[in-house]
Amino acid sequence: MAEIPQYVRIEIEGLQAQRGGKILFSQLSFSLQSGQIAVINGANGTGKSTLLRLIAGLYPPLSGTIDLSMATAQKTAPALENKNISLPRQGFSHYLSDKNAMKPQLSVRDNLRFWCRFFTDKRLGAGEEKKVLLRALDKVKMAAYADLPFAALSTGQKRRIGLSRLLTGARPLWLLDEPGSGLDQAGAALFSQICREHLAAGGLVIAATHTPLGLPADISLNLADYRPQTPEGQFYDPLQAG
Amino acid sequence: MKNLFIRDIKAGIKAGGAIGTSLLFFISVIILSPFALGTDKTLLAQAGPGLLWFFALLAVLLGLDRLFQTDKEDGSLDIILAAGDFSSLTVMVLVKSAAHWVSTVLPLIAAAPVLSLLLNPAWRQAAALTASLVLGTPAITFIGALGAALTAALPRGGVLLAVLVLPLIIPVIIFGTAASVALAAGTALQPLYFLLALTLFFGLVGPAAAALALKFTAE
Amino acid sequence: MSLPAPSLPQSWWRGLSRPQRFMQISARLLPPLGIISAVGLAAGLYLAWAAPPDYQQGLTVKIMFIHVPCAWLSMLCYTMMACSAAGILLWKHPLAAIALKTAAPIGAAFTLLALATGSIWGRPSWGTWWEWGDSRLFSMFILLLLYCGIIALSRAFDNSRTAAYAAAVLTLIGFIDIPIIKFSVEWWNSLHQPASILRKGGIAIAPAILIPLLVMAAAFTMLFFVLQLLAMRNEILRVSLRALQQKLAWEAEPAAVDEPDTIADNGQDRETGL
Repeated sequence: MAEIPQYVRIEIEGLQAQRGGKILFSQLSFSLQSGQIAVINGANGTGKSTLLRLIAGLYPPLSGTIDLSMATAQKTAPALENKNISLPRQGFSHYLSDKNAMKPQLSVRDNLRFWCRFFTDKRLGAGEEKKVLLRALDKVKMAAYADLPFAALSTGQKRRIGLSRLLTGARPLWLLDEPGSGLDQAGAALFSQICREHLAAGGLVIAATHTPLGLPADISLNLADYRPQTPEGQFYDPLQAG
Repeated sequence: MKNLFIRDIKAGIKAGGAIGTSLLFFISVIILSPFALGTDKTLLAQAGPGLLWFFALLAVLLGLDRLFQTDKEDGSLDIILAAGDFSSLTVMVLVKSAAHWVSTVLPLIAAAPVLSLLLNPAWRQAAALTASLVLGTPAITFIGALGAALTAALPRGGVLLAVLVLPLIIPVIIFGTAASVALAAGTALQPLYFLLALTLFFGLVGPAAAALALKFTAE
Repeated sequence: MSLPAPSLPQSWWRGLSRPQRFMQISARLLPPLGIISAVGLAAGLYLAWAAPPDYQQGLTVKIMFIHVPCAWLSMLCYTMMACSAAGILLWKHPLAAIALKTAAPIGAAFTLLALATGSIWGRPSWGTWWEWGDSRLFSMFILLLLYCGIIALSRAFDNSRTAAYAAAVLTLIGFIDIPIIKFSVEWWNSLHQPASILRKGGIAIAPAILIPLLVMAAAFTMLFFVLQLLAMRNEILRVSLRALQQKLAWEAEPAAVDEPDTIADNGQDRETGL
């Protein structure tokens, strides 16, 4: 399993996004580095999911930039500015949406094995792959369910498996959309622990959520603060646009 | 990518018999066709290759709308799209189409010689038809993948997919039936070469266009 | 709020990408274009009227003066749509998205006219309304199907950006595929038809027929541009109207329109119009 590079930084600058022709937020800027977690708040429809999908690279923002950089050895921040390598977003992040990305008719093990191979460039040996899968399942206390078809699990169990996907391949940046939805208290505690370990290993987390994660947030953003305040700013009118 | 291939085939086999459904559709319409055309043996024998090609085409298109839709519904398409650039997505579509062809179309082709013999008891024609299907149906799957990518985001994309794709695959139908007739009659193999060229061409263009469509229509 | 710059190569091109600029330019262009096409059509119709009848086909040959320009435009329109599709995919040009969407029904109409006039012409000259063996009729019909597919696809999505990209990909693939379809239909034709009765291309074109034909083709082309400009203006106005409605609704009841899912798509990305 590949290791997370030692120092990672993501910089978001002047981001603006639309959905269905309506501007959701603009001038959104923040930066995050290894070991930090950003929590995105905001009512339904303020663009939390859209922001995560923009960062995941599913589609481009209207304006603004998302820069990712990493260094293999920990440096002081100013030095890093010069030496960092900007990365394409592919292969950099794990994106967890409200869906769990599992085939219902396949077994939990088959599902996780697929993602493990998908996220790992070099093919692992059979023994090593087994270990990775077992570890991922262990972390969410679901090892006993490995051979059941995914469809047979309850909502909370499905979410646990969805979360364990993040552990099948090393990615520095985790983009989590309502990670706690469907989880019971024990599941939420397990998830906080997984996040804590990821942060301790030098990872980054950007989570969009209504519910508290059980982790102290380094950055807390409310997207409602970034929405345009005038109707002119929200709706595109081709005859009025500058 | 072998990984994706295996997953799709496994999921296809276990997906409530989706493979069987296409095959059953194919067999049913062929069995029904004498009721529409009559039992005139020469007519059925003459119409045989055309009928089989046409119904194979419909059976392939029927299942294709699910090619990306299941992945979109369960969320895995987002992850695959976020992880890939244009060229790796093209390969991804190619692999998914290949998995679909193996799991859905190959059973049809296996049944085709038997059905052909029912319409026309000539071994040579049955073999020729099967060979033309093997060479030509991948082209339908590849260009159908573009239709599937374009309609993946739509709730009822199935019929639209067929409407979009059917005009594009007219050459495949023309050269497919012509190739099977030419093979059976032992005449010039020119249509067979055209068919092969079409499969190769669509194998390149279809997945690339589908990858573009998936990437641009993600929201 | 300042607009970010579209990703376009040249400044005049970028200037033209603004919808207001397009509205100004098209408003200036439309009256002269309209007059030219009206005069051209009148002149072309008169010349066609005055043209001598064909010694074999008699008066029916005059359908050609409508049929050929329609067929020509059905192809010109598709070529223009393919260029728009490239404009969408390569430069995200906002006008290209509008042009592709509005051109499809116009192209479909000309294709339908070409088919109908071809069929009417076929009745007296070939003795049949429809001839499966004629690859030109058949290809024209497939072109109509393609147009209809593009129309259906570009109106199937809620999000106009998605719709523009999807229609662009389909248009380009169709553009690549049309020559292959044409070739295969011709090849198939050579198998199944004793190609004897259908040589209408064999008419020797005398200047007395060629000149009215060219005038008609030019006038129809002008007509196409007028229709296309009007349709594009209409589309821009439609989007603008929707935005105005939304602003009014928002001002009256800000809380009620918060959910983006309940908001109908007003059409455009701010930057690209896609």
